[in-house]
Amino acid sequence: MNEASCPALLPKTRLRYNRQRDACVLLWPERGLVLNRSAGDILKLCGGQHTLSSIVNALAAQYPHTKRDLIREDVHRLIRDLHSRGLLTLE
Amino acid sequence: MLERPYTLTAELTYRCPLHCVYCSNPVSYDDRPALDTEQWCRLFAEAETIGVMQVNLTGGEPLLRCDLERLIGHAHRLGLYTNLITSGVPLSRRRLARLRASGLDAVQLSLQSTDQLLADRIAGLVVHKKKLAVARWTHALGIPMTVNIVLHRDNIEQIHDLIALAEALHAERLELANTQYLGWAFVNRHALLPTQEQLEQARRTTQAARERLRGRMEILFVTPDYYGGVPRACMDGWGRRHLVVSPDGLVLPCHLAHTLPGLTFERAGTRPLLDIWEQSEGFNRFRGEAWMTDTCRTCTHRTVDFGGCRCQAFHVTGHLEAVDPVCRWSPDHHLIQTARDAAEQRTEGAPLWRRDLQMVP
Repeated sequence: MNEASCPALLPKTRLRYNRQRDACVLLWPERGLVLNRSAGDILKLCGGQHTLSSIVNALAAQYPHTKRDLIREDVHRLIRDLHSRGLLTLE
Repeated sequence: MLERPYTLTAELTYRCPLHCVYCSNPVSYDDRPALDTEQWCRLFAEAETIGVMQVNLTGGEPLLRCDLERLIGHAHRLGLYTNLITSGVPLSRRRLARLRASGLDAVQLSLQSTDQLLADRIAGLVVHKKKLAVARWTHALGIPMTVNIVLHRDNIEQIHDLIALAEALHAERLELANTQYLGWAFVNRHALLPTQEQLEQARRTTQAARERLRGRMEILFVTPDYYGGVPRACMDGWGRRHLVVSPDGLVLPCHLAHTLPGLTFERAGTRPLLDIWEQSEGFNRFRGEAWMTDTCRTCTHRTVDFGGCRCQAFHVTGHLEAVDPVCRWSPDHHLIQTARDAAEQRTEGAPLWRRDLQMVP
């Protein structure tokens, strides 16, 4: 995984907004995760067309009051976690 | 606070062309008319509004419903994740493509064995080759696939080949599910229960394969609770996360809850689903800890297993509140030990009982 990697959620996953929980949820066979707001915003960009660094840039623009280093750390941690769960690929 | 349900398991029919010797359908049930398309659609919509995110379409064999495309389409438009749990019989490639186009998200396909003769004997029908074809179509159509194999005495030693078969079929996920001894599996327990040595060997083989296949195929090994010493968290706890609706519309915390005597369950559509979830006598019967015996209530594992499986406790001991007898602290644990001893000592084949097709509506 490096700044040029393009994370892509696997076809078995579905990223959806759940109005009861007022949150994005990531669903896959028989399981799912309720995402906090920033995790939802990150995963919306994980369709394989954006590099890690451009995802960090987009989030930094969206959350101007959060330090870029913190955002970068968050993005990397989430992507690593979902990759290890077999939910996304890193092209 | 009471959580909202996460999964709806829709048992669309109890009918099935297969007669598996471990079928988890109830051994007997009232013959009431099944819910129709509109009733299922209303139920899906209501389930979505109270927080359900996943729908498991199962049975019996859900493919026997000719309105399956409509039901999947409806669930899909509601934003629900749709998972078809099927034997693959009867299915054509064309219909599978239609189900996918309707919004089907994933398929869970059952296989019985790597050996055609054994597979067909377990299923009570010549089905193995057809299932392999269904697995290939599923992959070709790009549908995520889980292969589910129920493990028992006669196929557990094939575990190495079973894993290789699932890999060759491009399953994303393999569930090696040791039989849960309920329904027909309880009737046939004497013939199905493996020995401890068989089980340990299977566990070792699975662990090695899991390392090898990491990142390619997820392997789930469901330990048989008869050899676990502690109960499993059946349904993640009674009335905590799962709703099951039987073909005739009973709203249940698990698919066999209506086989327990003296519990009252309600029918979908008779009052709001949320009221049934929160207030019905049946759902509240085994929530929390007040119903537990002292053995469970003072045990640290109670927050892990939530008191184990109520259906198993009742069908083995005859008492609804009994400690799940698979637990080593259960006063009835000798009943499980006796079944294990019989499995160790048995050397010959044993007769098997099957659901009689004519008895099924």
